[in-house]
Amino acid sequence: MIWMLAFIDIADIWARPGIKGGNSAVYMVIRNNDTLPDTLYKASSDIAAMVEIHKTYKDKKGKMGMERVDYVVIPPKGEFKLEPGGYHIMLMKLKKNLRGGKKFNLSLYFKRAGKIDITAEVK
Amino acid sequence: MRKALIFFAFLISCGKGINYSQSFPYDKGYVLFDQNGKERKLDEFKGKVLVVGYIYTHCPDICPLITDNMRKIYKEVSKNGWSNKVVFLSISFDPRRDKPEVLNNYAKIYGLDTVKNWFFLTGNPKTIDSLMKDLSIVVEIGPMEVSESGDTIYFIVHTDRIHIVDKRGKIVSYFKGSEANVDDVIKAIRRAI
Repeated sequence: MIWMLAFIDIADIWARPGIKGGNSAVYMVIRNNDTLPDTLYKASSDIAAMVEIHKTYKDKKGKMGMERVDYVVIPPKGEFKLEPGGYHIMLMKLKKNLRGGKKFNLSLYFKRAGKIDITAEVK
Repeated sequence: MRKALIFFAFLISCGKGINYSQSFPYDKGYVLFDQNGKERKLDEFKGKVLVVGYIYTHCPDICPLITDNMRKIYKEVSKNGWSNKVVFLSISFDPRRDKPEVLNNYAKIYGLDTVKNWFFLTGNPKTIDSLMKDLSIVVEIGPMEVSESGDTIYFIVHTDRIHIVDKRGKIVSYFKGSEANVDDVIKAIRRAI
């Protein structure tokens, strides 16, 4: 399903399984059909106590880690991928188990497009 | 010069599963606990080929990739009829949070709770710290955050690794856990059996 509002399309939305009290990650492709960039700066969901934008990184010694980022910019007439091993929406302290097939709601906040509500499926 | 080129070519060819001379620490007397809370001496797995991944259940991005890759490897191992020769171990390096019941839930969520030759292991924090050092798995606790509800949240910077251990306890190959090529791992397992 493609979620579209004004000039922003959001497709290929899915989430990792996660255990109650643990974490999960949500991935998607955000397309910007406008001629100006837009910025995703916040996400929220009732499924978790905290929701943030995160990025997985590899340090010089090959260790893997994660860090919070304040925003991501979706280029004009372009797309930004939230994908495994890269950027993702981080769900922390899940309020219930997320098993394969479960769906839940998530809100994304853009500087220009405003709030966009989407549904993610656990895969 | 020719020798140097051959050595360089060898290093490149080993990039996805570098041969290793380290031993799995069966001789250290490590005692862990599985996802059912049952005590597991590490040396009880000696004599089996091991596929060992290192994870923590609060990891949302890299560790699920490691578990997914191990699941793909497990399917190939089953297809090849090696299930009685190969054991899968997912060892948590976050024992303070990953108690047996948490690992049990994790195994269920990933549909791995009924797999007989797959164990999710945790242990005393000192034991796990020592085991990770023996296996050259680097584990660094990252910055802590406090949620609005007062929960402390932290992530771990860690080595991304899957080890293949042969029947004698020698680590014969290692792979980047989140990016491991299943065919390459299966070749390594075939050699180790």
